[in-house]
Amino acid sequence: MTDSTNLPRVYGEKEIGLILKRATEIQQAEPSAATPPGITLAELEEIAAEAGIDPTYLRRAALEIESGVHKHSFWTKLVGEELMLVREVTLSGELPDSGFEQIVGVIQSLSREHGHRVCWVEA
Amino acid sequence: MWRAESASKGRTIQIVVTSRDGHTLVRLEENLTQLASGLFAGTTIGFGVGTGVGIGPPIGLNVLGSMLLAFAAPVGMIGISYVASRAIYRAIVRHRRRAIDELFSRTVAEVEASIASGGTARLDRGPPAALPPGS
Repeated sequence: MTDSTNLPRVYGEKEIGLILKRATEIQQAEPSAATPPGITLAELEEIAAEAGIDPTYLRRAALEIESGVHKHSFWTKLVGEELMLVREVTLSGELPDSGFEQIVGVIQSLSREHGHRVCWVEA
Repeated sequence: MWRAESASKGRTIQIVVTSRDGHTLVRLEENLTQLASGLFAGTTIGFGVGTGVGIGPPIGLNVLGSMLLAFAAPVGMIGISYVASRAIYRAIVRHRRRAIDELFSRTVAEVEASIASGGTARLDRGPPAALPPGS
């Protein structure tokens, strides 16, 4: 039987954030520290890759943070969670008109599965 | 720009796909304000204030004979209702977030494929993602 005390400790989301934040603070406090404050996206991608996180998701998360969709308002703090679930990404390349029609089909099929009526409007 | 709105009882999902100047924006959002206001108003105000103010003071004064408990009971009931509302809301949001993430990933994958193929992407990328049931 495997002794559970020998298993490596698994850190939660909040702990990971706190550890990285604290490690950055400690490094900056070192007199010999030559690196500028903070971590670049490329450095974050390296850390994420070592942790088994796909850099694509990391870039998407960084874009979401930059767009401010995760800023917490008074009401968000009051209810303890987000009041608006927002996911946003900017992709390079233009979607042709025929591509729009296909995306419409995909989303309609996803929604129809659960009885939701989707209305598309060209704006 | 195309905008899709899926409105069902108690929930609204909006998907925006904009393409210009060599870039394509995909944005998906679900507004949970209506759900939150209904839940917190019903549970915290309806149940917490209703039972706390309606039952607490009479029990505190007449049964327990304590003015302090008569005041503390409504506050306690409102507090418990508020904590319960938060727990319920967090559980619902966690569930919906997973489904929204899945739907977003599928939509982005389709848009990426469509961009890469110049608009001739296929639609056979496995079974559709599950949207959370409207509640």
